[in-house]
Amino acid sequence: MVDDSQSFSISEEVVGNDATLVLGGELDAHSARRLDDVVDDLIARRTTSIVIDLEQVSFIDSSGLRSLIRARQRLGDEPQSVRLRKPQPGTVRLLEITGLLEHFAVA
Amino acid sequence: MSSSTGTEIGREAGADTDEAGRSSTPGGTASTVDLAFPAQAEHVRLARLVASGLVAQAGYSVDEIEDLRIAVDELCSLLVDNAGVDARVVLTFRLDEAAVAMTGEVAVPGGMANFEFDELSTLILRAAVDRHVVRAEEGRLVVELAKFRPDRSQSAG
Repeated sequence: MVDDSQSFSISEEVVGNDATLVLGGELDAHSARRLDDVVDDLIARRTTSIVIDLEQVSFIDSSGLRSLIRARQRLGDEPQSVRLRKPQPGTVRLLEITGLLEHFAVA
Repeated sequence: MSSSTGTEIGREAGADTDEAGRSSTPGGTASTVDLAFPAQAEHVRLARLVASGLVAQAGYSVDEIEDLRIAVDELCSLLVDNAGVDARVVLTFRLDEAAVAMTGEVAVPGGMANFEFDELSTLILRAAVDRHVVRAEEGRLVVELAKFRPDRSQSAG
């Protein structure tokens, strides 16, 4: 088994119906499942919008992008339902390559 | 390592034969590294580490290393997603003066692969590498990637 305990982290802050998730490390097929679970749990607790802080995400792949899309879809597919904060240049490049940048509010 | 659940890394320096039929620089020195691991998502990070380490050692730029890291991740994710039970991903990295080439394969259930390769992965690979091929053959799914050194792209292509 590969120990991924140091390769990905999620912390959350919830105020009312708004949540902020601070991600750290590598968001790939393995860690994206954890993000999906956290988003599902937030929605079950009536969260209606999520800010996802990507400043500390050093790597993201198509699985990570799919998790971001999934989060937005689960929150009604509204432009402001999922906002991305401080993505690294590599993350921005991937969003551009895949045409997803225009589908997310990025701050 | 001989364990069926372990990871295997082998390195053959100066190899002059390419079983996958990739192009090589005539007279150039090639280096081949093999990596095998269980077809599970948690192990893909290891492939990224090996890929980035190898191409960094070969003098690729930071941007090229990032491209190859994302490319090998997409390659491995496709193999893992379509792998049979207890299958192992086998990767071969081949570096020479002209390019870095990666071939990955995994056993798939049902003899022929009914694989899915989504649009996001395709867009990423088109941007990250110069060549990618996905094919199913004899109960295996095989993916080939290649990225040429910028100053060799004309002669190697």
